[in-house]
Amino acid sequence: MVAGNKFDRIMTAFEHKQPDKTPAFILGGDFGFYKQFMNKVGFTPEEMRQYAKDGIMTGAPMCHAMAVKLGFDCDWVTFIAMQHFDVESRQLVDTFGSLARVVVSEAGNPHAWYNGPFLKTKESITKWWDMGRPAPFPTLLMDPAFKIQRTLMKKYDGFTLLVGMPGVYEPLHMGIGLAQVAKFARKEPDFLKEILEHNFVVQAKALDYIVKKKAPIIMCGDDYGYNEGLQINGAQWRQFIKPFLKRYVDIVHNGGAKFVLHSCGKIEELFPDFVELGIDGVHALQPKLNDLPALKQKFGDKITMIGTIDDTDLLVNGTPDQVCAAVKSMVETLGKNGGYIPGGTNFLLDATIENVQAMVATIHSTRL
Amino acid sequence: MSSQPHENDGDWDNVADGVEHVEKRVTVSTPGQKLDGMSALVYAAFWQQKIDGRFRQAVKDVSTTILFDMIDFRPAVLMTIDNGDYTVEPVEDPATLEHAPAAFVRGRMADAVQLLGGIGPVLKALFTGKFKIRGFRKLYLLLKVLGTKEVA
Repeated sequence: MVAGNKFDRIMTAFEHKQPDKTPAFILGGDFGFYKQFMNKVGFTPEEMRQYAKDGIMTGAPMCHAMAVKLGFDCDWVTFIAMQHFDVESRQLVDTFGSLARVVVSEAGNPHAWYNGPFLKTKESITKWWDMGRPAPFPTLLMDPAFKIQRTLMKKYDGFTLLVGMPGVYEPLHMGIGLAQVAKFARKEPDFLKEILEHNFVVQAKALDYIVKKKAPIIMCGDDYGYNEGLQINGAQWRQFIKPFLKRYVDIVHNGGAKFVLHSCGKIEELFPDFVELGIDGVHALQPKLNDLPALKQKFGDKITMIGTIDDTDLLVNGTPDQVCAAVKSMVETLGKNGGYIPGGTNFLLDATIENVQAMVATIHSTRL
Repeated sequence: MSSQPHENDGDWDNVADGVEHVEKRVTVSTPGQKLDGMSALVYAAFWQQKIDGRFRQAVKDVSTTILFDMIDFRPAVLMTIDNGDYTVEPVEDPATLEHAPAAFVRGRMADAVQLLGGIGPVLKALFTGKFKIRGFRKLYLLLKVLGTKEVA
């Protein structure tokens, strides 16, 4: 058993040793969850003053103060490159071509949505390049996160902020659309690689920047799965995505940091590739979609499993007692010899606060 | 989505004495209508401060109106601040407003998103007159909201 602060426990887990207490992770909580948190838990004025002064009262869905108050050990921030505005469709466009839309529901909750690809033809893609895009990630928006990461580490018992940015596949298919990805993969593979190369120029710069800021753990979001299986077949993933993912991992490892991949859906067939690439941890791992005990048995000494607690049903519809029982069982199965940082498998949306509190308490109290 | 800390540049040290716990003072007023476009962006920008009470603290003695008019992303948005809260209202034609807003920003959304690129684009936008601004003090108030460390 290795004792220490939150960061020590997290790094012990990554080293596949047994921490004295299993650390808990939260990806974030969206606007509705934050409102529920404020109504049921909230902050005292003293906490609010301190958290605001420390700069951790950040906006949903990544409010670090909320993660601290709920007792988590680590959370996430990811950078986006939302730099363009398309006058014709009157929508925000990120630098890889994905359209975004912000709406407010009748209940008064804001929501940000992916609203389809902007680069719908080969001509629009090459025109995008002619306009000097993709453009670099704005460092002005990135810099505050590093200060927050240091503050959380120093003043909040080693609370660890995993810093990240989009991965390889999501910017590709969200920018040009799945249909074009499939078409180019079959008929114009060199052009698909050219798109990935163009994207990677700015992605590598951003990743280099994060690495130079000495973030200890870098987590990139790149959903590869549907509930039923991979979004593109494994052979195409290996042909087009894996080589660029390797470059991501190499940049991060060369800078001395750990590389974590967030990837939703049924992705278990990619685990041998993740091991080959040297990926240190994988987040999401929905328990209803992936055989987690089998993954632990085969790869548990090489890859740290992060997430794994069902937030689509258990944390929404279960009772705190049911959550405690399920989480205890999960920690006992997946937490042996470290390599496990449990938490919800995505941003918390309509999970109940009571269930989330029960989850965190059980993660911390289950002894191995 | 990038998270950003907001440094306080005001003096709020004396306002929280004796206040109760925040959960009893949370403001949860809603617009009661679906919002889209620029209205949703403006509403969302201050939503968290609205929910956790910092907005109320920062504007408790303020009653004003601010118009955001991105001419390539209309309808424009009239933000009304009153009683420690705010509402937003889409405005199809700002010229038809019965009362002139106390402050306004007019420009193009295509230029506004460029401001995210850093200090350089911000200075360029100011010096080249890409944005027309009136009522700078009222607009500064909104920046102050983002830096507020107290709740009301």
